[in-house]
Order: sequence, then C-alpha cells, then structure tokens
Amino acid sequence: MNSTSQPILKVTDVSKSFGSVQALKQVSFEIFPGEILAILGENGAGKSTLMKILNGLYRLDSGKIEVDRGWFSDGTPQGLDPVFLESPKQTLDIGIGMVFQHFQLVESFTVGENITLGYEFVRDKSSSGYQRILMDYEKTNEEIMRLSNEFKLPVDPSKKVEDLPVGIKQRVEILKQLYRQANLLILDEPTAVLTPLEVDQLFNTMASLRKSGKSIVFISHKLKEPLHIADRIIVIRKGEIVSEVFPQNVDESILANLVVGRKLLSRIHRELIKSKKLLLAVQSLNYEMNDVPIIKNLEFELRTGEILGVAGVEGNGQTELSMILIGLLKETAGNIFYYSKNNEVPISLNSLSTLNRLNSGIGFIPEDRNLHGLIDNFSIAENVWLAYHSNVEQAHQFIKDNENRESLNKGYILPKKLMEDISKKIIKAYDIKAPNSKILTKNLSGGNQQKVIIGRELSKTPNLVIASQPTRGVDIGVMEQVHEELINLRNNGSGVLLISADLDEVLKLSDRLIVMFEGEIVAELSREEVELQKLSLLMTTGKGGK
Amino acid sequence: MDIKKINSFVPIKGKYSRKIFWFLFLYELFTLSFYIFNSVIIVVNGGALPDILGYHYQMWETIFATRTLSQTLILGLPIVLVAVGAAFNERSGVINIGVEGVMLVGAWGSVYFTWVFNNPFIGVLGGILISGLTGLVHAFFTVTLKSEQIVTGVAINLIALGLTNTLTTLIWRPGRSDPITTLPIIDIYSLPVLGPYIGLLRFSRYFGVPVLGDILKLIPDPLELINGHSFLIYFAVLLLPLANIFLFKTNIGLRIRSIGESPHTAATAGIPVRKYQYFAVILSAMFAGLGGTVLAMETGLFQENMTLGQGFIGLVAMIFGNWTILGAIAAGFFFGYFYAISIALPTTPGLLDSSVPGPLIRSLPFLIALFALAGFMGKTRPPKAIGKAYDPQEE
Amino acid sequence: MSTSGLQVGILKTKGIFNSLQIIFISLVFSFLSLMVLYFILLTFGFALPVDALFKYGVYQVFFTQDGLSGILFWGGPLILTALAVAIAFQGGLFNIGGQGQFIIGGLAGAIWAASIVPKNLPFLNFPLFMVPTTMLIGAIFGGIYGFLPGYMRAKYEAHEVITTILLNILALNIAQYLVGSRTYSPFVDRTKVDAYGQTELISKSATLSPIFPAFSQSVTYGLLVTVLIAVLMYFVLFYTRLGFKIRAVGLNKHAAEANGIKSDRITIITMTISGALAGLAGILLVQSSSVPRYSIGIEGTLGFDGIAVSLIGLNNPFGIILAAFFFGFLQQARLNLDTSTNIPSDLIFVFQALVVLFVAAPYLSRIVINKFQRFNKTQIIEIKEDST
Repeated sequence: MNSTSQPILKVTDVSKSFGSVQALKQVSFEIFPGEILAILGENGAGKSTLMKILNGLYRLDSGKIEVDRGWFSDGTPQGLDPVFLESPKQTLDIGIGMVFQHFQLVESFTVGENITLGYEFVRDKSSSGYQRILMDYEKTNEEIMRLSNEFKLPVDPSKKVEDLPVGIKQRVEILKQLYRQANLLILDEPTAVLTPLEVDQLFNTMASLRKSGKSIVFISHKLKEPLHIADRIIVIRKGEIVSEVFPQNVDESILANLVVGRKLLSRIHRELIKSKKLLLAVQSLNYEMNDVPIIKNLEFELRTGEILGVAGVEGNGQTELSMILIGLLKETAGNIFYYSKNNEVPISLNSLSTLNRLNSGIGFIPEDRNLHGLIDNFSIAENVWLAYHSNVEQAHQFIKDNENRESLNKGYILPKKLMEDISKKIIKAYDIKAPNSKILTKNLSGGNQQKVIIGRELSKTPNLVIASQPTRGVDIGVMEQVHEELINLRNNGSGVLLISADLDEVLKLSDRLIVMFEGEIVAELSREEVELQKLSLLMTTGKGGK
Repeated sequence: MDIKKINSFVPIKGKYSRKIFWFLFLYELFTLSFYIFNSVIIVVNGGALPDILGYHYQMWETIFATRTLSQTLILGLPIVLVAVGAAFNERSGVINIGVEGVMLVGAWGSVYFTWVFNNPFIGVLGGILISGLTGLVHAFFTVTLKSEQIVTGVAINLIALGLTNTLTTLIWRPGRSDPITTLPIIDIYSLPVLGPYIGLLRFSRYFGVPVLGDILKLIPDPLELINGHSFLIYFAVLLLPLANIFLFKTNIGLRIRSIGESPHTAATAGIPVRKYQYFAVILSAMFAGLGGTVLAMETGLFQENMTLGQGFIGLVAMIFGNWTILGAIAAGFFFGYFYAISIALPTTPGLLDSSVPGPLIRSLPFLIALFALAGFMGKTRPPKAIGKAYDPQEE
Repeated sequence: MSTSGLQVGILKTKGIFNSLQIIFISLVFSFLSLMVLYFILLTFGFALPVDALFKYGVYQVFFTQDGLSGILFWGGPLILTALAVAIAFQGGLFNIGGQGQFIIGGLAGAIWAASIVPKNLPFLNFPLFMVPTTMLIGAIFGGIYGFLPGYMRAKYEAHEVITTILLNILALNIAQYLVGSRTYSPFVDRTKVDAYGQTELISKSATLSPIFPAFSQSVTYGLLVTVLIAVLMYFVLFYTRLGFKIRAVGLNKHAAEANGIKSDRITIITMTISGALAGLAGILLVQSSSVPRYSIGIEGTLGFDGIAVSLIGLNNPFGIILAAFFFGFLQQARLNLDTSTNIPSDLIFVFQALVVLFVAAPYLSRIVINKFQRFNKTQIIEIKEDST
C-alpha cells in the first residue's frame, strides 16, 4: 500500500435519496493507487447505491466525485479533476471497471464474445466497407489468450459462458474489465457465490493485480475476508461512513460491532429432543433436465425435532431438490416418503400435487421470495391467504375463532374478514413494518417481505418445513429472528430441511448436515463431526475422506 | 414429442434411408387423408370411388409441380421476410406483434407511391420507408415510453388496418385500389449470349425422350423455379443470406443479440441499448414492409386487409425457426408451401370434388401453424430478456 | 425470469384517481392524433366535411331515438367482449381472439335456433326453453373456442396472442363454410337464390324482446342479462376463491404454483370463461337484432373493440360498463357515417385503436401529469428502495 501518494479517486460528501429514504448521507472517501480498499456493511447499508453511483447508473443528489485522469490513462498522476458520472460507458472510458454480484455476462455467448462485447475485433477497422462490421474471431481469441497469460487467469475463449462454473465466470468478468483497460476494479460481493477454494484463487488474483499497480474496491458484508485481503477498510452503516480502519489494527469482533452498531447476541436455545421419529425419507432420487443429470441417487432421512442442513456451493442441485420436494419439478426416478402428523404409515409424495403436499403439513420457504414466494401486486392479506386458499378450516384454527365456527365457509366465496384477521395476527407476531394488511407487498422492504412468507408458512404449524435460503438478502436483525423461529419449530418437534449457501447459517442451525456436490450427497455429518477445512474441501471437490 | 423416440419406431436403419422413409411416410399420410376426405364427400353425394393409384400420381404431380414450388417462392416470400425481420427485433428484446400491420402499411405504401409516381421502383422504396416509420412508432412507444409491447403491437395492427382502409376509401374507393404498374419480369432465357444456352437445360425440352422424359416430368424443374419472377423477388431473396450474416457474423448483430439476452450487460459494456433497439425494430419493420410490398406487387393492387394473417404466420415461422434467420427462412417457406398447396389442390382436376368446401382447404396453412405451435413451442429458446422494456434503474 | 404474465402498465398504477387521469389524457392524445391526421389529409387535398361529421357522428347519435338506442344496443356486446378481454388480462393472458369467439358463439347459437331445433315442434319452440338454450349454446361454443388457445398455452406454451389470431382467421373460414355458399354450406336455405352468407332466421321463440317496445325495437332484455353478467364477473373476480386464483396466476404464476394453485388449470378456465363471454356477445347480438339471424361480417370489429373498452374500463367490470357505452356511441357513429355520408367510418376505428396505443403507454400520460403537478412530485415518482 502506498498511502503517501496522491488519491486517484476522491468522493466528497455524496448524498443520495430515493423518495423519502436517504440511502447515502454525505459519504466521503479516497482511493489510492495500488491498494485494495474494502467497503464493509450490512445488507441495505448503502453499499450497492454507492457502487451504482460510481458506475454511473445512479446520479448523485449532492456532493462530488473527482478522478485523476492522468493516472487512469497512463499511470502518471496529474491531480484530481471533478467528473459527473452519467453512464456505465463513461465510467468505463475513465478506467473504472465494475464486477457485479450478478454477472453481467451473456450466457449463450462465448467467453471471447463476452469479453470483447462493445469493443469487438472486426476484420478491418480502417476500411469503410462491410469488413468494418464482420467479426474477427481469430484476433479475438489471440488477444484473450494474451491477456489471460499476462494476468494468469486461464480461460478458453471459444467456450460458451453457460457451460462454465461460477468461479470461471467471475474470472471472465475480471478479464472483461482488464480488456477494457480498467485500472480501478470495483468488486461487488465477489465471494458470495464462490467456493472456499475459488475464494482463495480470487484473492491470489487480487493480490497480483495489486502488484501490477491496479486499485481494487472490494465490497463485502463478510468480516473475515476484508481482514484477510484488504489494505484499508471503510465501514458503512445506514448510509453513513462510520469508521475507517486498517486490518492490522482490528479483529473480527471489533469489526462486527462497527458493522452492526451493537453487540451480536446469539439467543439460540437448542433443546434436547429424545424421541426422534422418521419424518421424511428420500430414496434414490434422480432428476434430469434435457437429459443432463442434475440430481443423482439422492438418499437421506429427516426426523422430527431435527434441522437437517444441506450445505454446498449453489448450483449443485439444491434448488432443484427443494422444488422436487414441494412438487414444482417432477423427479425422473426415486421415492419420497413422508410421515404426516399422527400417522404411522408413510405417504408417498411422488404422486401428490403441490397443494396436497402443502395441506399434509409441509411448509415451503422458497429461495426466491419474489418469484415463488409472494405476489408483489397482492396485499399482505392476500399473500397470507395464498397459504390457506384451500384450507379454510386451518385458517380458523390459527385465529382460534371458535364462535364463528358454524359460519365456516367451504364454498366459493372469499372470506375477507378471516383473511384480514389472520394477516393482522401475523403482522403483529412477526413485527412486520406495515401500516395495515391491505398494503401491497411490493411496497415492503426485503426483510419484511421475507417475514410475511415465514409468518404465513409457520402459522400453519407445519410438520416439516423446506427452507431454501431463508435469510437471503435480509439484514442481521431479521436473520436472527428467522433463526429463532426455525429453532423453535425444531424444539417443538417439527423437522426442518435447511438449504442454504450461507455456511455460517447451516453450521449454526443444523443438527446434522449433508453436503451436496454435483447433484450427489458426498458426505453426511453430525453437528459434532464438522470440521471447516474438511467441509470446504467436500463442497468444492466432492472429496474429503471420511 | 421426442424425435429420438419416434425414430426408434422406424423399421429402417441408416441416416438417408430414414429420411427417405419419413418423406414417403408424410407424403402417404398427406395423400391418403385427402383421398379419404375426398372419397367420403363423393360417396355421400352418390358418386363412385376414385382410383387410388391415379390419385397418388395426380397428387404427386400437383404438390411437386414446378408451378406449386414457384408459387411457394412467391407466397412464402412475404412470410419469410416478416419472419426474418421479426428475428431482428425479438433478438433485441422487443416483441412486435404489430408486424401484420406493418406489412399492411408496406403493401399500401408501395401501391400508393407506385400509383402517384407511376413508377414501381419508387413504390417499393416508398413502401419500405413508411413501414420503417411504422416501426419507429412501435420503437418509440415500447423502447422510450416502455409500453406493454404486445398491447402496443396489437394497437399498431388495428391502427394500420383502420388507416389503410380510410386512405384507400378516400383515394380510390372502399375496399381496393386501382391496379398499378408492376415491376418488370426477368426472363433468363432471353438474356443476351447466355440465354439460349441456359434454355438447353430446361426439363420441358426433354419431355419427349422416352423414360428420361417421364422421370423429368415428376421432378420440379429448378430453372423454371427461379425464372420469370419480377425484379423485386430476386432482390428480396438476395437479402435473406445477408440478413443472416448481419445478425450472426457482424459486431452489430452481436450487440443486438446481447441486448435481447441481457440489456444490462450490454449497457455496462457501453452499448447504447435503446439506440440499437430502435435500429432493430425499424430494420425489422422494413423487412415486414418489404414483405407487404412483395404481396402487393404480385397482386398488382391494394385490397382491404390483404395480408390476412400472413404477418402472424411470419411470427409463427420465426418462433418455429427458433429465433434464427436460417430457421425463419425454412419455416417461412414451409408455410408458404402450404399456401401454394391450398391454391393448387382445388384447381387441379380430379384431386378434389367440386363440392369440397374451399374454406376448409384455405384453412390449411393456419391449421399447420397451430399444430406447429402445439408441437414445437416448448422446445424453442427465446431471447432471455424479451418483452420487457430496458430500464437502467432496474436490475 | 419474469414473475408475471402480461401486465398492462395501467394495471400497475397507483390508485383509481391516477388511473382515471391516465385514461383521460390518453383519450385527449387519441383525439389530438386524429386532428393531426385530419390536417394531414387536408394538406393532401382530402377535406373531410366536419359539419357532416358532427351532424351524423354526434348530433344524430345523441339527439335521435335511433341514435340513443344504438348506443345501448352496441354497448351490450361491447360489455361482453370487453369482459372477455378483462378476465383474461386479470389472469395474465391477452385474449385477442374475441373476434373469433364472437363469430363461433353467434354462429353456433343461430344455427341451433334456426336449423337444428325443428320449427314445427311447438313443445320445443317456446321462449322459456329456446332463449336460454340458444344463449347457452352460443356461450358454450365461444367457450370451446377460448378453451383451445387456453389449452395450448397451458400444455404447449403456445402464446395465446398468436394462437387466438390464427383461430380468428379460422373462424372466418368456418363461417364461410357453414353459411357462406349455396353449393356446399350445410346451414343455408338452398331453396333461395340469394340466401348464402347468412343462417336462416332464428326461431321467433329464441329472440329477445325489447325492453321498451314503444321506444325502440332493438334494446332488448339481452342488455339486462349483459349488465347482470358484468356484475357477476366483478363478484367472481374479487370475492370468490376462483377469482382469487385467477388474479394470483395472472400476477405471479410461479408463486401461485408454489402455493398449490394449479396454474395450468386456471389458465384454461380463464380462457374458457373469456371465450364464453365473447361467444355470448355474439349470440346475444343475433337474438337482439331486428332481423334475427347470423350473417357473415355481423361481428364488425366488436371483438377487437373489446380490447380498448377493457383498457379504458381499467379491466374492472363496472368501468367496462361505462366505457362500453362510450364505445357504443362510437359504433353508432360509424354506422351513421356509413349510411349517410361518404366519410370513411374506419376513421373512428383508428380512433379506437389509438386509445389502445395511448392507454398502454401510461408513461406518456405521467409526463403530462408531472407537468401539471410539479409540486406534488413524490406522488408520481416511483419510490425505489435499495434492495441489495
């Protein structure tokens, strides 16, 4: 790090608000040449807004941004000039490259096409004829091989991006920015989708980029990683910069306090459950999509009073597993047996519709809440009713409205009063920030939306809950609340299948965990057996030795 | 339906034998269903069963007649042009259901400008230009104003229908225009120097030769197929391979396709997304307009609602061709072929009894399109970001 | 992946007041576009007689008995074709096959009442039997014609916009086959020379009687049935479990499925109801006409007009009733222009189509609203939270 030198980018008093929500309040910081700066903060702290401002996607309300154009063009500092960032193209032209969490890649294009997109090699640039627009794939591949060798980031330029693993896709993204001669790279939560092994590779890449003089902004909500790789850490909370620290001066707990602004308490109380009965048995489950096997010979069991964690890097068949269990996808082969409440004989789920599965006491917390969870343009009451639409009796049970039991209506009419009562109860129980139950869920924050889903699923007192990424994109407060609810459920004798890409979450909650790799279970571990080193090896290579 | 599974039922092995088997199978299916259909009607009306072998021969001669295939070129071309154009805008992420209307505008425009200037070349140009303008309207509403693309397309269809009717009524009379001067027909046999030599290759010269002549009679003559069309047909056909090169081999095509897959990716790569979408939609409208122009020039005048669903058939062809240019061309001519057959069948004596209802035969292309949609829709792969307006503020 | 089916911009606006503003501005835009067209035509030397336009297009509609009853007469089928579009919209589908479903419904009902039921059997030919069965046949066949694209959408992912358009063209051919020709059409009175192109007159017992016999011949109890159905549809959509499911599937099919709603089945049901409504429009028009028979071309553009009516009625049955009478006025004006002037009545069709174009572009109207309400910006600018 070279803190004595001049900054190459300076942000002064930048503010940005959306309607009445102030996303950024007078944010100021500097970036120096050849350093890795980490911006650390919770979800919703304003990191993404800041990043989109630096990318020219959002305009700032007030404040200014200055860059050293000289350094960006040939590495010789010339002093700062104010800029107005108006489009991604303009920031790119300056030399700021952005690697988003959701990769900006065209899946059906080749690596070469993706990297050169917008700045393609054509047959003959100087001519004025049709040669000017004809793609030159030979030159494209040559140049990418050259770049790839220069920065030691091996890729195959003629492979299609959709066939690549996540880590390589990220490599393509970084190469894309380097191809465009970015000297400042902004990486948004780059490790969120990576395996531990890939994270190490990424950090090596970052270090070597730093060595060649590039600056990197590393945005993260994880505490360990910035400590490991960054030269300087800025902590952002509720749109304001609360602290600037150097990794050698702090440790994880200090950083955690800075990020959250309060001490994290773990209020998990894991009751000892003695008699565990079988709840769910999955036998030689297979799933193929377009003749490609996604899930191979899956076998596991889940018992009452147990949280079974499914660990694994995303995209190894977990999503499909949850959708098969709830009946949204049809398995290619295999059996799923389920013991509903007070029932000694298992029922086979294979032939049951989604509705019947839900009504037999299975709750579903989907991975993508805006896709499979909520209907954005429905009110809270209507969204809650989605869970009860075919089971009015259960709705009455939930609000224990015994006086009106005789008016129980099984007919065709929508029971509006009942809908409102249930949703009010859930809003209250889960502390959902909403003025009333008629408000559309699209107007709620992500955390409150998730609470609506979890509230409605758990209100049915399910026997088994399939929870897929239950705390994705919610802040730490909500995360703790969700964890508590899941543990309560377990303590009360229900079973939970917890699928999560967040390893900390899986380790914290699970009684037992299975590791999925390329559609197979590569290990089954009890809570006591878990070793982090072994686990990450299992997740990334499928091998770890018993 | 899975091709592999169906293929396992075929009793013959070998790549080419199987293809020949399928060809003959479909031909039999087609011929027999018409034979039965026809026989039932004849018998109901108290006639005698037609000879089945003769019927086969007659059917073969009709559906593989040089004239039928030449009609396929002319009737299929408007559909193909719409399909190729639609591939452009859909690849850029914009749906344009309004191509039917654009086609109608193109047809009207070419007739109007030909009529005004008494020059079909200016007419063709004018037809293409005002189709482009119609495309501009669609682009303005869907790209700039972010309107619902399908509703906007439907509105454009209706506006085009109403407006062309209004103007036709005002300028000429309700229902149709005056006949116009059409483009010159090109005859390759009368080309200087080469013409007579090419003429030596005509099949019809050898019909008198024993055996060879009989075989040649059963095969369509490729020369006859490409000869005797108007200048416009050749021009349009030449555009088709160029369109394929443009969309799949140039950097502009690459950019258009990247927008349809992921506009945000394109934007972060510095590509002006909206400009390219405008470009693609207008280009596509010009193709559809050219389709209308071909239709009008071949008819020789403008008629109220003369496209009659051909634009939509073009969209089906584009889907059928899985959003590729070559696929769209193949599918477009496939539908054109059934148009040609639906014209050829009732006009060939002996194939269909005079009491066989014409409307049922005319429904053939539409029925085929419906079945195609039912059988193949799920197998296709549309551009990922299709149908949603690009909004840089959203992710 | 998009979470929802088709959503017209206006469905997503906030509050009824905002929506009404957009409707109003869209109508103004459509009118202005028409004015522009008028002046363009003028510069090319086509002077449209404005006085005749007002005399026959406006005055004769609002200030004569025939005109007023025409508004009500055409309003009826428009309510139904618009309801057909609206319920499909609510279910995330765009049914532009109203035209074809109208034809099939009207044709089937008319053939039933004119040719199938023997006219010489008195125990069948009484209104209490004939009127409802004829309506039912029309609705059922329209429903079948809506079921087909629904089924193709649900099972084969074939987009309903394309399939319904193809089915519209097929419907024309079917009508041509059934009643279009003296040589092959089975339901044409072959004894008469000029009887092709239409069914025979339907049994008198199947016709609907006028509500005000003194006032006009054409406003029948069919209109009453129509309004009742509109109210019923409102109730179904917003107060029943079926309606809940339809709206859920329309707004987010994936979430609906994950919560146990069978979206394929709902899609098919929605399209079937939609088709039945359009088919009912067809047969009610036949039963209400002063010359009660189905003739080719009777549908005009009523099926397509339903799209515009539905959009400016905000896809709400009560809004649709109001909008339908406005379009009934336009329809009557078209007829008056056709019979009494040589102004091309298709101009009014253009106006209706322009309404669709502008209503589907709420962004344009918002720009205008913003200009007028510069101080009240927060109401219009979408509040977006930083979600990631």
